[in-house]
Amino acid sequence: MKDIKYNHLRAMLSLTKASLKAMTRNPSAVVFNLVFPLIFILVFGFIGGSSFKIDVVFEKNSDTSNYIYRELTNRNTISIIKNLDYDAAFSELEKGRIDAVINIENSPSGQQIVSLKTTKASPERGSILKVIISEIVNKQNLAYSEAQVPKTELKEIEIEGRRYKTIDFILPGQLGFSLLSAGVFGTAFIFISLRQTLVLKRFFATPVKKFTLFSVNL
Amino acid sequence: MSDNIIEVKNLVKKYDTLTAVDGISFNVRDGEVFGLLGPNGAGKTTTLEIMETLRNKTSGEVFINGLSVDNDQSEIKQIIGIQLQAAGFYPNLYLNELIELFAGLYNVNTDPDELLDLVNLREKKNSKFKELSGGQKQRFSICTTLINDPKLIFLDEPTTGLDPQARRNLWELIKRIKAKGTTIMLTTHYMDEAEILCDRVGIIDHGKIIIIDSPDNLIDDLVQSGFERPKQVKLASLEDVFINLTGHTIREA
Repeated sequence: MKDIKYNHLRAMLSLTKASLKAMTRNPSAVVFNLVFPLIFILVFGFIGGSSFKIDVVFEKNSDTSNYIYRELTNRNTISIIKNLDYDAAFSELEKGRIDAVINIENSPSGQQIVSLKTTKASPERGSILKVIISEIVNKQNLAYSEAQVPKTELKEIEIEGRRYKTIDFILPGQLGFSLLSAGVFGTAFIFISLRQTLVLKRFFATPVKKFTLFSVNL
Repeated sequence: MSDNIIEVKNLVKKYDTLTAVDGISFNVRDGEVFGLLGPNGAGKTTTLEIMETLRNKTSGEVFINGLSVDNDQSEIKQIIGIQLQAAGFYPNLYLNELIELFAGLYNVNTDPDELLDLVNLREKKNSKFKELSGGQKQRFSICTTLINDPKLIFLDEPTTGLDPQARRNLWELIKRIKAKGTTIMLTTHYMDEAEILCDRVGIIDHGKIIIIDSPDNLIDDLVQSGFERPKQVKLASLEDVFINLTGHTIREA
């Protein structure tokens, strides 16, 4: 009889070493554990790169030869959808598929009237559009007014910052998920194959504990 | 401690409806080669696996080196070596790495080269298990049973499926292991093998031990009872012819 007490840590370490060595020599394990998550990350990284857009429809008889229309078409947050008649546009507006319907008309008194229809289906975009339009309108009004020096002037400074993209939100989840799946499915598959090839049975013929075997593969 | 390294008393193993082992009792003496013989399904492997603590028994008592298989499984596993009838080894590892792995599992320090020398596999130490031939696989399997320098090793049909040369090679190996004082418990279907290797054999059928004695005594008793082979035996067998023509050297692809 050996007097030295059996050391489970040593058994565990040699098993870990063996399973790591075996894994690096097994191409399919490398593919499953590294390449698959990478592919997922890439695929999700490219999906959903679309930027913020406000969809706007102009009514058919709207005046398009004016300053406001030109300004709106130049803004890249606004995309103008054409070839949509009033009824279709209205129903799309109700569903929130477009964000606003605009009509610009010149009244007989020489005044320009901009009528903006937004929807409760898309309130944020609607109010942003409202701000944009009122800014343009104010600018035009100011130009017509007598004031030489505007009362208030806005100075805008944009500081450097990192723009967050979809991938930034998905990546941590992806990493977590691939670790999880490697842990759960990987362990299950390893045990199934070890059991089928009777490797486990041979291990049980040694003094190693079942718990040690299990924890190593995690 | 008694001279018996294995003591089995009224061992019973039942699977749902089938009684695989039906109250067998026997002892194995320290240092001998004991053969368990019997047809397929007689209960050889079940008996062996219960002694190896790999399988639970239904009733009865089994002591290995004075330790009960009920209470001292871990201690028993440290003093026995097990070769399973069919076993796998961790995939994608080389033989020397497998030996290191098992050395770790047994908590012993060992020199892989020395062990592989014992079974003539040193030149294969950088091969994988699945790349070995049948005879080499069996030899490696026996090699892994010797890692912890056991007092007792179990060999379950070690020579099944091997060609005559590999079989003879394995016999030599078993004799060498016995010469070191290790007790060997083996099962086999080959009577010539049992006759050559075993000090005593137990014949088991339908889960019961029919007889236990040395091969010589068993043969003598049968002859005394008036048994005669229907055909007079020639001085050589076809196997002798085969070995004579193809040589003793083992073939390895």
